[in-house]
Amino acid sequence: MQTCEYCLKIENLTVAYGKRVALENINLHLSKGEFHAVVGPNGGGKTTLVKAILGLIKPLSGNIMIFGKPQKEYLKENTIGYLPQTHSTNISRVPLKVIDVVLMGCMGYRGLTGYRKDVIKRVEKIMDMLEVLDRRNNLFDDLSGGLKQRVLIARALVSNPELLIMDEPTVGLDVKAQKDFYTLIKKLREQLNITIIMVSHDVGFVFEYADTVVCVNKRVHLHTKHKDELPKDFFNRLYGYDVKFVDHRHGDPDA
Amino acid sequence: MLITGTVTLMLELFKYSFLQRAVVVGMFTGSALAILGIVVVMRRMAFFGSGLAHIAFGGIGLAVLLGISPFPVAVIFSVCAAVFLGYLRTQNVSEDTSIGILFSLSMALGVILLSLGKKGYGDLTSYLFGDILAIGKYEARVMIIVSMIGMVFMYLFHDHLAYFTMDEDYTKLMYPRMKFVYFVYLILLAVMIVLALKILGVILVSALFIIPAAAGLIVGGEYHRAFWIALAFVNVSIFAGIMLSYFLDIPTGPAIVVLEGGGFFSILFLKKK
Repeated sequence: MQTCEYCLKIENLTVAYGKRVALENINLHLSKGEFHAVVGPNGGGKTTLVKAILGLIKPLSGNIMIFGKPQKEYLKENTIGYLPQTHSTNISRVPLKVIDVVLMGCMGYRGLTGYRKDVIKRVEKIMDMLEVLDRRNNLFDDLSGGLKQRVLIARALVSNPELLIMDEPTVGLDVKAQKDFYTLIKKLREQLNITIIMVSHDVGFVFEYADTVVCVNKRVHLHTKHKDELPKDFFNRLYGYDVKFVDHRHGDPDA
Repeated sequence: MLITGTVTLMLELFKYSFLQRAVVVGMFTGSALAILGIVVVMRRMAFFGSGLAHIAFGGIGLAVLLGISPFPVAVIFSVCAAVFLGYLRTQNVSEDTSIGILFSLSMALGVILLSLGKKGYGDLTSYLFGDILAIGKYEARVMIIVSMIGMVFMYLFHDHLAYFTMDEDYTKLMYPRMKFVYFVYLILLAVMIVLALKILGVILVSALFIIPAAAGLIVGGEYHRAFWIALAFVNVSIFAGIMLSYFLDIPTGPAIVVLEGGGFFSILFLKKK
């Protein structure tokens, strides 16, 4: 059997909304088992890239291969764990319990009258791993920002994905919650051996935790492993202003 | 007094078939619309639903002009309008604006066509405010069957619709058939709204799918519990409304709506205390 070292291969991808081109001629190869971060300015096409990978947007042209298979074929047989931007959802409109939110990740397994016992067991196992099982009967909207993110990660992981994609998961979290979040992601990578792609605004955190960083602003401007490899004026060119790396370890004696 | 009144009404129900029909049809239609309405309220589509009812009025006018049964035409008219609304959305016209335009256009068309039709303006009030006591046997059968289809559909897909309301992209990713399920939901909603015009008419019908659902969500607090509360709320309102209209000799539809509205605001204020 042929093994594939890339989790994602994107070739000549162009996406447009009407006449506005959001992504132009994207070429990207991301390795298996690593934590890849995607950074870039607002409106630079980061979320569009994620949606194109997930098949939620039809590109104008280009080719996407996931774990060596054409995107459509892969998505028919497998699911990708997805954690969307919180502000793009209507979470507060639907008063669902935490367990029901996590069960969303198993929609394809829902029978006519509900979920099978083995599905519920798997969901509870993942919830326990993410330390949210004791909140199963709480209303999702009543949870804190950090706990909500844990629940949404549980939802993304219940289908046993090989690839987890997160779109700005730390927006709205304080520094402590952000640090907890990255620690959790590190733990999950070690336990589940999955590939992670994360869109983020926080360049400082990203360079601290990610294996590779992809800078996107309509095109891929850089794909690197170390912040030292960045040209001096790189962020000025990408964002239009200088970006300072903030040390997030303040107040943490173990850091 | 209340117990004696209830017993008397129950005995009357067995005597008059039109009253039996009114209660049974009211409860079936009300139950189906109450549970379909929970998704309407969560997705903030109240204007959409109310708009569909008003758009159906154009179909009623057309049927009266052609001298054919109005409700099948109204159903087709509303379903076509729902599809046309989807098309307008792709033409950069917002859903609110499209409904606002089609709403008044269809009402105006309905009034003109009714005035040109053989029956003239005589039937206008029954189309605007409905008459549950005038439902015939055939209509009752159709309404009960469609209501049962609506309830079975909601039993099977209530979770999917909640997920779709909460997070459209994620739901489409996890369940690629979701767009089709939502399309069927919209068609069922349009058909149920048009059928319910027989009970409450164009003006009042939104009370059936908005008030019980809103009460269910407020009292229930949780999505699944909201269904049971909405069902209890709508059935008590319809039964009490028919009873009230029978004893006080007042129009049945408005009696149901007044009880629903009163019940909703009582719940709201009691909940705040």
